[in-house]
Amino acid sequence: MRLRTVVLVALMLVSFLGVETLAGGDETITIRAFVVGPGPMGVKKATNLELAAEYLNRFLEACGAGVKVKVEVEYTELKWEQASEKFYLDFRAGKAPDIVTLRETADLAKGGYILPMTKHVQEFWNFNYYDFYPNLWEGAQWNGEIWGIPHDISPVGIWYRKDVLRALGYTDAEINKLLPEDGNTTLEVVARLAKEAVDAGLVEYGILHRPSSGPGLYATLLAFGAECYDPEKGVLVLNKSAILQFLRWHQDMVAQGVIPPTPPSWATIHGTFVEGKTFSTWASHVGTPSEWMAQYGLSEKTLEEDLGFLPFPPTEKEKAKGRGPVSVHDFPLYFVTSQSKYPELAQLLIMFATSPEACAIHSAFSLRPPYRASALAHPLIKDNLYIQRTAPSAAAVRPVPIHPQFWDYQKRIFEALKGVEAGVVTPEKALEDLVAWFKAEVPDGVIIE
Amino acid sequence: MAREAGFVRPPLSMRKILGNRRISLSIFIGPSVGLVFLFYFIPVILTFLIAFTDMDRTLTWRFTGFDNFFRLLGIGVRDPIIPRILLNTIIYTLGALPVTIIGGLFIAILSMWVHSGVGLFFRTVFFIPRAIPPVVYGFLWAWAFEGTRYGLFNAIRAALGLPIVQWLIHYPMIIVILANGLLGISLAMLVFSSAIATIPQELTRAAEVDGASATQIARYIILPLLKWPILTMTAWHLMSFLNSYVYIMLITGGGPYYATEVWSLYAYHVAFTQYRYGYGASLTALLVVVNVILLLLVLRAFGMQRMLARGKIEV
Amino acid sequence: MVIKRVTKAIPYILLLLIAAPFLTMYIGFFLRAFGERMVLGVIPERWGVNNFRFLWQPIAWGLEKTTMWAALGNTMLFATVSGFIVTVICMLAGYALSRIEFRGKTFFLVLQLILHAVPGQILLIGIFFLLLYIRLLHQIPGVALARAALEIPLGIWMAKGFFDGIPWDVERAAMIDGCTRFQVWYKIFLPLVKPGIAAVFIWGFLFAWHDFIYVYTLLPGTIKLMATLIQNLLATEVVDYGYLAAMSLVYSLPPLILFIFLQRALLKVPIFGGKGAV
Repeated sequence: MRLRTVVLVALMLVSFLGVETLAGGDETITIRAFVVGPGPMGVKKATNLELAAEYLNRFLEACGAGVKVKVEVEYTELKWEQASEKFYLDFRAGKAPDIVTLRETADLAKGGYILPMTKHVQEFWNFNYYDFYPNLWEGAQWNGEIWGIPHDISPVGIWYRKDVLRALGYTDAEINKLLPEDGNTTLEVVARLAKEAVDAGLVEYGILHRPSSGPGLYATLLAFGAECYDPEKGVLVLNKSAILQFLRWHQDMVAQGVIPPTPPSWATIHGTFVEGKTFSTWASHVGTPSEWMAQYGLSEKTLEEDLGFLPFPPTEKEKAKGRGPVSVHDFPLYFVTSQSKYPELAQLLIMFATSPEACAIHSAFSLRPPYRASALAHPLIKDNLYIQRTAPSAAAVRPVPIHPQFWDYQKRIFEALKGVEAGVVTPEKALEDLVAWFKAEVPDGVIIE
Repeated sequence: MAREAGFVRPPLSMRKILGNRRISLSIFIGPSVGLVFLFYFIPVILTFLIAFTDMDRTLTWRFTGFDNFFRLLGIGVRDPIIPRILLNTIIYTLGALPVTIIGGLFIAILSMWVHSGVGLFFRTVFFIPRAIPPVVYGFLWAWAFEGTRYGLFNAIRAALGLPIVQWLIHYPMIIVILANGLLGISLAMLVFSSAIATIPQELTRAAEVDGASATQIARYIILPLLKWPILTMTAWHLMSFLNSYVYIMLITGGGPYYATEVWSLYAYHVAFTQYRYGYGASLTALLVVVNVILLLLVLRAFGMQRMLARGKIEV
Repeated sequence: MVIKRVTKAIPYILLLLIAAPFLTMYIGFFLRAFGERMVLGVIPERWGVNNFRFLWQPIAWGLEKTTMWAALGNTMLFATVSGFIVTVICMLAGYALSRIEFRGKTFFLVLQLILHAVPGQILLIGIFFLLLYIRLLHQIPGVALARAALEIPLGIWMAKGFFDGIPWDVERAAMIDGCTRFQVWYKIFLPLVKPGIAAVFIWGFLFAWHDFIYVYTLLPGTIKLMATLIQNLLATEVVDYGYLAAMSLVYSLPPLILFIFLQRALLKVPIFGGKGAV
């Protein structure tokens, strides 16, 4: 079946690239792509497109088509917001690329910036898309259509230091039971262990969370049962009791010396964790070790033996209600823009850029889990213990809600959290203010007691 | 010889020699008028127009009349944070402005007083905030006052055996005022010291010979001649501080719990985390109106009209 | 005798006291540039210049490589041209505002300040539309002019102040000798307002030197600028602060050197205590 599809693909290429090109010499079709890192770790997302072009060109050559595909990829290490603004402005000026990697599916779809890929995905489902983890498609859909292809997942979770636990007297078997890799434990266990470590003077900080709002915050909220979004009605939700619990718990942690009153800077969070001065960091994701190794001198040995990872476990209360461990990520998608002159070609390029090989290349480089199951058996990563170990996290990751005010909402919650931790506002008052804001700014939102 | 810092009207005897005004005007002021009109004034008008739309990231013009403004004023009543934000803005601006102007004057005058090499050294030190990339300047302050023992000042305290201080919890406003005020000093000091350098030495030498002390020279000769630069810097920085949010964002993020959230930062958060450019433009428009009112008040207080008006000059 | 010495020392002491905390901050930060693999703390445990490797090694730029020197060169060119444009235009305008009488002068001056009331981020959208409509978008001249136009308002106010300080006699003598207005401006005034030229040039230069968001979003593709290199370093949360400090240090040196040079060349000797102070 594979061979048939390949020939089909090649024939499709030849047919829509125009019959007249079969006559003369080699014509080159240029596809432009704009790929965002951010940072250097995401570079394979860009080179995979070039790789895809190489494969396509081999098919074309084999057909004697006389046409070549050239991919011009602009890879930027800048932040999402900056790259995103550039894309919108370029599009408005008529200079958008054919392929772009961004995250704001709903905005792009609503504004007509991108083309739906539902038909493409259906056509090539059995060839390429059948083993993408199903939960990922949830983050690629809007309004009944699939708009982009997932290709870069960094599930957030809890990192902790096993060597600290060993110093406290726990055996490896006990550690695995208390903090299993599938997250089947409770948040209170993590807190208890953190407190033990701090009280024993083994670490300076028990738990460090993000210094700004982000997916880790959302995951923590979910662990407390504070759902923020109702996907059926498409509205934001404010769960008063859950958020109050969330705030009170953090206040308690600060009082017990487990969490510091102000979240330290990123450098301090990463630095103290890598050096073993912090027991647990809630500010990172599965792929962060690649950056720790590159920038902060983490060794592979330490990663294998002394660091542990698990998705955010629910609180005891929530576990009793049946909630499982949680991980989220706001992942980007490969989109085809509506200004593209060769949309089907772009789609094919994306397809080859998300092959098992491409997936494995990106995983091996960035240590992020593969987004499709078959990549796990690929020679590049089948012997990589770390990737094999952390692979299930991608299967369980939840995409973030698609609502224009979602991040604003998260930011307000984070401000409340910071205020409560700093001791400048009580959890009750912070909640009150939050509710008042919610009622004013999110008129269609739902408030649960 | 009395000189006023302001427009100096040419004596009648010279008018004939001065030649055609129109040509002179177009050469001298033409380019600036043209450039500023085209590339600054028109975009500002466009921004005001955007305030009447609900433009978002799609950058499409959809006029919605005064909707944004109604919402703005309505929200102002309902959002409980707004009074705090207004208060913060006032405190911040009234705090940073003196730091910049008085600090700038102080450094400029002192540095011109001492040995020229030493003076240049200190002027350079106070120029550094502008030489460093803005983001790095923000990071620098955030790191210096980080609440852990890895922040600069806490590290120094720890080395001295003192307990660490949660600077950003207890003194966020002061830190933010200092950071921005210092940045303002870099420009103010530059302008003031350049202005002082154009004062003819005969003036100050004569006063010195007459037995005036340095403080008297500063007060009675230098300061009056700096009226125009002081006016410029005050007006400029008043608006800078009303509109600035970048450094506050980098150092405290507006926290803790809105303790340093100023109007411009709030407008930025509201409009740009949701990418509602139309609403953002309306918040900006309101801010501009406030700016203009305060600006005109400041100009009035300094007597700008008088400075520009025809004065009696002894020729 | 002692009192006199002490009074002489006061300004030095004052300056030192005020500058000390800030100097500590700068030194503390830039020390990190000289530390090897330093993440936490202030004083490097191991010293080294590895953080300055971008001076001799190529840097990743998209999918290719570039050198810091290319970026530095571009930034230097952009900032110098911008500073030059701003200086010339403001010096011209400053003269007119100081010496020529015309209607609407007050309005013009006040308008300049009002323009400053619009913050940069949202103005970017307005400028984008303008450049789009006059078809200068994605072209260097369009962006350079827009960038210069943003700094001209304050430059005009600064320049006018400097021109006001020149007495009429100077001009009168020159005019009587038969100079045109332009010649008076060029030959007589400019040399007399050198500190003003320095101040305005630094002003125009500096904002173009640090500019990132305007150049990045209004020009096509990837123009290599130092500001972009710095932004790349800050894009993720895992920041190598030693490397950042090193690059910031190099990035900050040209404006500092320019400042010192211009101050020395164009600012006169101090006006107090002329005896022996050079």
